[in-house]
Amino acid sequence: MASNLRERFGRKRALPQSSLTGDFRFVPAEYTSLREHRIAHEEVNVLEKPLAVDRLYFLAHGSDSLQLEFALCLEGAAAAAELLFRRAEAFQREPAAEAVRDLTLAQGTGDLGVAWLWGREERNGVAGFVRHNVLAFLQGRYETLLEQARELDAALVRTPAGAGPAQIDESSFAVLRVPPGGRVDLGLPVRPGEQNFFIASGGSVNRDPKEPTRHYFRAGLGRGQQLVTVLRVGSGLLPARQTIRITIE
Amino acid sequence: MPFNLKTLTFNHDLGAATTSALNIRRNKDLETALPEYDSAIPRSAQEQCAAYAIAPTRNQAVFVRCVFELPGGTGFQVKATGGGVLGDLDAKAVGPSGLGIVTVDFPLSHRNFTAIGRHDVSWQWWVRQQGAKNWQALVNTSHRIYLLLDIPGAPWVQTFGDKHCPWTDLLDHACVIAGGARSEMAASIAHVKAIYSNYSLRYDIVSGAPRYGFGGMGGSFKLTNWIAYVLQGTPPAGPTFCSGSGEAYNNNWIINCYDAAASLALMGKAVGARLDYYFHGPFGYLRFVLPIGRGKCNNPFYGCWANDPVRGEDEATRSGFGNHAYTKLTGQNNYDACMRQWRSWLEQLILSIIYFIVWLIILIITFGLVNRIDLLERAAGWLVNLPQADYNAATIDTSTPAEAAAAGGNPVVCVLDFQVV
Repeated sequence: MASNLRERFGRKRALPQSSLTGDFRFVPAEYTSLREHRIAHEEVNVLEKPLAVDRLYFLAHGSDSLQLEFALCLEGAAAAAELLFRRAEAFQREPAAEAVRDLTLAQGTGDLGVAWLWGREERNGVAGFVRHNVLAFLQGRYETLLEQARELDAALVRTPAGAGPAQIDESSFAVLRVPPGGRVDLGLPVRPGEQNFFIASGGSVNRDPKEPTRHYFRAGLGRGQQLVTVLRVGSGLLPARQTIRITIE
Repeated sequence: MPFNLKTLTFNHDLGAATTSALNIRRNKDLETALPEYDSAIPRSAQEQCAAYAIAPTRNQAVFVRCVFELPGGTGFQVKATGGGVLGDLDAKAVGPSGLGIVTVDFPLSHRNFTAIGRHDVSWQWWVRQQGAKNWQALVNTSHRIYLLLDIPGAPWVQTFGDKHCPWTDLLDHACVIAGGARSEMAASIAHVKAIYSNYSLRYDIVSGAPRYGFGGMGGSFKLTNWIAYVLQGTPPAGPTFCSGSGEAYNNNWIINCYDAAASLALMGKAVGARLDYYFHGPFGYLRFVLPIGRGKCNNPFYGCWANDPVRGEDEATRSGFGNHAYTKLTGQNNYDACMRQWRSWLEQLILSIIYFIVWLIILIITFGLVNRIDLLERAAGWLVNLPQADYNAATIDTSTPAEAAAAGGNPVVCVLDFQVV
């Protein structure tokens, strides 16, 4: 199935090289098809490969449930498309070849999209699409899934986007110094409603056990210039990025 | 200045694991303490922890490093008793020193590093002045010691400061599961059985989708969630899988075979068993198996409402595995924590007797050197230590042309990783 999906849908059209420049916040009440749903569980993560802010929502409405994932890929639309195929391939169950629809062709959803119903006598299905550099991946009741995908795509279309990557970098002039194996506080302010995610080279960023809101860099044993990338994520998808230079000497 | 054991360091060599403990951390966010014991900082035994790899420390002069504060100009002797697997520490001279601080290395001469384990141990430290007859109690230190077969392989690392150093939050479970195991096979079997049986996990009968982030051939396993939701048994209350149906269940305890294989490989590797993750696709129609948390089944995707896991043998309308994932130990035989082979009670009884006899004969003729415990497990349908051909024969139904056409894939080793951001 994996190669089939990529062959069938991945090479048909060139993706626009656009990225969200404005933030996108998902609020179920803003969508007719999702108005009755409540968020039962929510997770936010930062994926490293490809680099993406990933929000996972589990929505419930009576006995219906919907799993909805948004991933904003900082490396662009191609990375979002790659993530779409990875998600679509990550089932042990294989949909019948004729069941897989081109969502973009069928209803104009996404720059690239696929959807399928698991079986003729079943009600669950999958819909996934890429708009700009955002992946939206839905699993739930198929008869409502397509309309939900259409509405979510329309909302992404309305979100400001530009040809290049979004300007999310914040200036940082701090250069920290630390001996090999030592630790240095990052001194990052705590902002309510936001979460920091750290990607570090030459060591790691850790939480202070005595003050859980404080983070410090633990240097590895090698000397040299290292970088800590801080992705600050609020309630939406678009992060702010700060880069801290650290010299291990 | 009174005599004092100031610090005690197990991991005194951050670049090697032959005479020193391993580089470890607690989890994604928190480090473990180093030095592991500091008299100025009260900590629990669990926080004063260290891990040793058995293979690289064998026949090595493993030691712990102690720093003492002492009155100037006076010499002392120090020893420790107890210590569990670490053993007693023989008496050593400490001082005299004009500086008031002395560092002394104590060999772990009486250690008992033979099997995987998690041990909470205590040392009673004793001190006496040089030439004095009687020992005085100095201090009692408590520690959690993890024993692993070998240095954990990738994606685990031993680079100091790296978040891929083994997590004690995982070792707390993995070392107990495989406790007492002296071989990679025994550790792997223990983990297969634990993942399959101990955590109320159930197979995803709707789509066979993963819940923990590793997607078939790549991705990052959500190890933090796995530890909290599965191993520690504290999942969020929602969402509910198959809500409103007879199959309703906490969605965090629904898994697929990628989840089972990735967790098995990560937990096995953490204790030093070289289990690697393999993706196998296409896989095909199933023989009668017992998917994790489910009953007899040859139709794994029967959905929330149909309740027909068993269809007629060779019935082409039944569902099968488009693909599958399991692990191999040292790239050889298969270990699968996602399903068991279904056997009738009579078949189990007969095979139990046959396998027991074979196991006993092998044990006797090799003078106890070859202990094929996997044979005892296979009678009960555990898919452990199986050559690929035997594994395929036990799980994949290729008895009709349509079934044979749906199979035919081969296992491919995949790079495993877990989330640390």
